[in-house]
Amino acid sequence: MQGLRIAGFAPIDWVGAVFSTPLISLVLAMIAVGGYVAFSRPPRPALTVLSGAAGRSVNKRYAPERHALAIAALAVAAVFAAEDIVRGSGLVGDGAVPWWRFAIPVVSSTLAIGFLVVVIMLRGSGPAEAPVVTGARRTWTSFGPRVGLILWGVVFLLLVATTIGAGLTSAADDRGQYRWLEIPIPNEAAVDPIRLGYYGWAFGLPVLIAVAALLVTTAIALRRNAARPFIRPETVAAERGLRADVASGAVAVSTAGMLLAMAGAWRLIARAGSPAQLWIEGRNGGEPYEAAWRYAELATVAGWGAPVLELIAFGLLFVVTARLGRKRPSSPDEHRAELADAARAGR
Amino acid sequence: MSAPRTPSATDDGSPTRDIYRQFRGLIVSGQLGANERLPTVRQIASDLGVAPGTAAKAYKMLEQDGLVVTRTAAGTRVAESAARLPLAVARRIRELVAAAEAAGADLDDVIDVLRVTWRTTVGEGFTGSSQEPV
Repeated sequence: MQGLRIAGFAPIDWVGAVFSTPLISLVLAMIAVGGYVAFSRPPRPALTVLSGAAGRSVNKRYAPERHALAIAALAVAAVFAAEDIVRGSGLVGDGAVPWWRFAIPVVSSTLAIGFLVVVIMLRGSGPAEAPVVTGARRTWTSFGPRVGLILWGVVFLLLVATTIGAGLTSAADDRGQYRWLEIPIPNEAAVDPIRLGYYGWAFGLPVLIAVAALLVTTAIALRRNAARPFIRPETVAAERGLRADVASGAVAVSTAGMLLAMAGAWRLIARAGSPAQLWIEGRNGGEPYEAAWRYAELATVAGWGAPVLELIAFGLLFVVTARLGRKRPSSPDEHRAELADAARAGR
Repeated sequence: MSAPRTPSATDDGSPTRDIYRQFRGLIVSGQLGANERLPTVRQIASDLGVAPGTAAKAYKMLEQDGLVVTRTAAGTRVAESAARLPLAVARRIRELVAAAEAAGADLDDVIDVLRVTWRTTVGEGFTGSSQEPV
């Protein structure tokens, strides 16, 4: 059966072609999040609204870090896109190994969260106006999203496993850089193996170092966010919500950085999934030698998984920007107006 | 040379005494569950703007009264004998309050539903008021 084919390609080929570059995932995620924000019911505003000095103090403390995180999340996506365009434009020399390629999103996430830590320390950690004892011990997990932190850990483990697994199966080039995958030609020991560009140690080691830095920075951000004193007893409930927002934003940016690195790694690994051919003039009767990697099926799955990871990663970054970038009600009147809007939209 | 004096619960007006009173209130009222870990001395000092030594003295007073137990590496925890509720219950009550607050639920409604749920789940073990189910 021929099935549905357009211009000689099956639908699956079209899907593969559409998602062949991460920038497509970025655009699709932007459209999806933009559409969701524009057409979905506006989120119900938080009920804890403070008036007077308490409201001003809370806004003064938390607005800068919310905006900083919103901008930083957008910057992570922008840096990723810029690097992809620059590398794709051939500005990087042919002989050079772009070892930073997969570490870039992780490094930019680390810098984004580091920026958040600085803002929290400089603008969001003043002494209490009226001291509060809540009795609860506040640790780095106190305000972190429970499911988000679990997923963060899962993504971390997957990225480390991918990097170590790929590193162990990689081979060195003539300069000793582990960036190749060697596939031996079956039953032809005298013929050189097929060599493909691969996510070896040359790319993986910078990623591992960057991930370690990202982990530490994220933990510091969550701890700093949780440990600072509350402003006043009447602001505790509102501050809990705001700290939860900041913590979930930081975890989302951190997860997105790792997802982008992993998606890139999976894309490169997937190239090793298709059977490779090697022509040697005067050998094998003019026919190419064919060889397939023994983990080819796994690589193919990784190839289909990579765009999904990118969509999730960009989605997370844009959601953080959309959520934390919007202005919070600064007065009870403004809050009442927002509640009325939300009720009208929900009707 | 005399040994440093540990403040007693009867010393009035000092920050140490204030911290002691607040934590005693939290433990006796059941807001902190059995074996619940208290904040670090540093956190208390930062929250209240006092010296870490002041918070440490308050913890010492709580320990002397049998309200908390301090063990190396396990931190300072609410003594089982002093707590009104197990830690898991106290924690879930806090989560319930946070969720109800976020949803804008009324305190009386939450208490009513809790009471009815308790009655239907625990059955004859219920010893609360004779309010009818809502």
